[in-house]
Amino acid sequence: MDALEKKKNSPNIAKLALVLFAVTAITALVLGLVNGVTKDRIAALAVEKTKTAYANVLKADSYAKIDDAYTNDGTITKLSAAKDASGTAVGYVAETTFSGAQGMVTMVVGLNADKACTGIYVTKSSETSGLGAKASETSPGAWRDNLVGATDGVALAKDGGTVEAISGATITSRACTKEVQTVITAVSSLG
Amino acid sequence: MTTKQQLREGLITNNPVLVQQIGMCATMAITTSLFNGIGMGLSVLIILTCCNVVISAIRKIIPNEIRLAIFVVVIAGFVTIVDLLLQAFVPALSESLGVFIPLIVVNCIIIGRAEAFCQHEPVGLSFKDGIFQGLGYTCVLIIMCLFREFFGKGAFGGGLINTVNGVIGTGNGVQIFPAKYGALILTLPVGGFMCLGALIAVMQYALRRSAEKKEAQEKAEREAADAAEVKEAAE
Repeated sequence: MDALEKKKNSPNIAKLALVLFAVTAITALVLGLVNGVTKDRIAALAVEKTKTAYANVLKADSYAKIDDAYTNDGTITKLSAAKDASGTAVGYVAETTFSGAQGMVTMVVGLNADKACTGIYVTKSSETSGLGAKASETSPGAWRDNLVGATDGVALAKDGGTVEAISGATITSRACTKEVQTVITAVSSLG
Repeated sequence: MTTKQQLREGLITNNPVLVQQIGMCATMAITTSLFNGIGMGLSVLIILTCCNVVISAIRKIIPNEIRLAIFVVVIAGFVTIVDLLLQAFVPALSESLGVFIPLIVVNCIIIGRAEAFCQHEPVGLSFKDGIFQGLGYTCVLIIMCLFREFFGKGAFGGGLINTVNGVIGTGNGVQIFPAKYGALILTLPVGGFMCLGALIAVMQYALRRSAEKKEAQEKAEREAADAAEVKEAAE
């Protein structure tokens, strides 16, 4: 008797699954459409942004990808040699992706011919608004200026170096600083 | 329920943040510049209104047992749409708000309104509810932004006024007094807690005052009516 009643009251699992499936399918369809509309624009914006970042960290006329082997802990996604109009090498630009405090950070690092940092530019991050996100600020006097001129051995002040961390965002600051060091190491290994 | 009543509920008597006390996480986290506040407020308003309408429209075919799962799917869908559109057309806002746009999926205001309101009410009312609750949320965000920006950094309208090279979403706005005299703590998360706490206290005080006033008025009216009755009886 009990079992019978239970069966009567229990919802029809097939119907539930069907309704949920229908709602999910419609949502997926709509999302697909929106993605189709926005995909190209988002990709174009990303390319634009990387271009801006390159020019921002190290001004040069051409950037040629380096295919030679170099020391890479897996965070450098692209290393390019920067040349001016006459073909003289002016330095290096590296695209990097590494782990920040909240997720992956994508950053462009520029080095001059003496392997000193000419600037960093965070192109994508999900760091905390108001704290770690300060690493992405590009206005004059922003935190990233602290890394300009950094040479081999760069580290945060609390790790024995000279770079002051963003207050409240040590993890982000440390990750960015460490990445600059990684790029310096990579370029040094090119010989 | 009239439109006026709904508007009053969304903005004052049943304000999502100050009275229902939901959706507070993002409120404290992103209210650091006016640009962020308005952007987040409008994003939530749009998502909330869309979700309210859709959920209300399909409320009769949603089986009660899996309603939460369906709400979440609908909400996540709209949030992703808004997220993609922002990334494509307002990249500055998308960058500035970062992870808080995708996090609207778990913003209690939206699922709260779906559960408490839209699953029982017709589309028209749910639509208005979305607009007014969204407006209430936006107003709180704007007040918090203005307060924290002014007292924390001595600025007004960050990201909207006085932008760097005219790019929206940059700069600190108009500097009213030098930033070094501001209480920096207000711009940090802890300042968000304090600011929101103070705001809730003020709101509760005001609501209680108005409720007491109303009660007193009713009492006076009742007494007057009683007195009139006694007088009548005596005559």
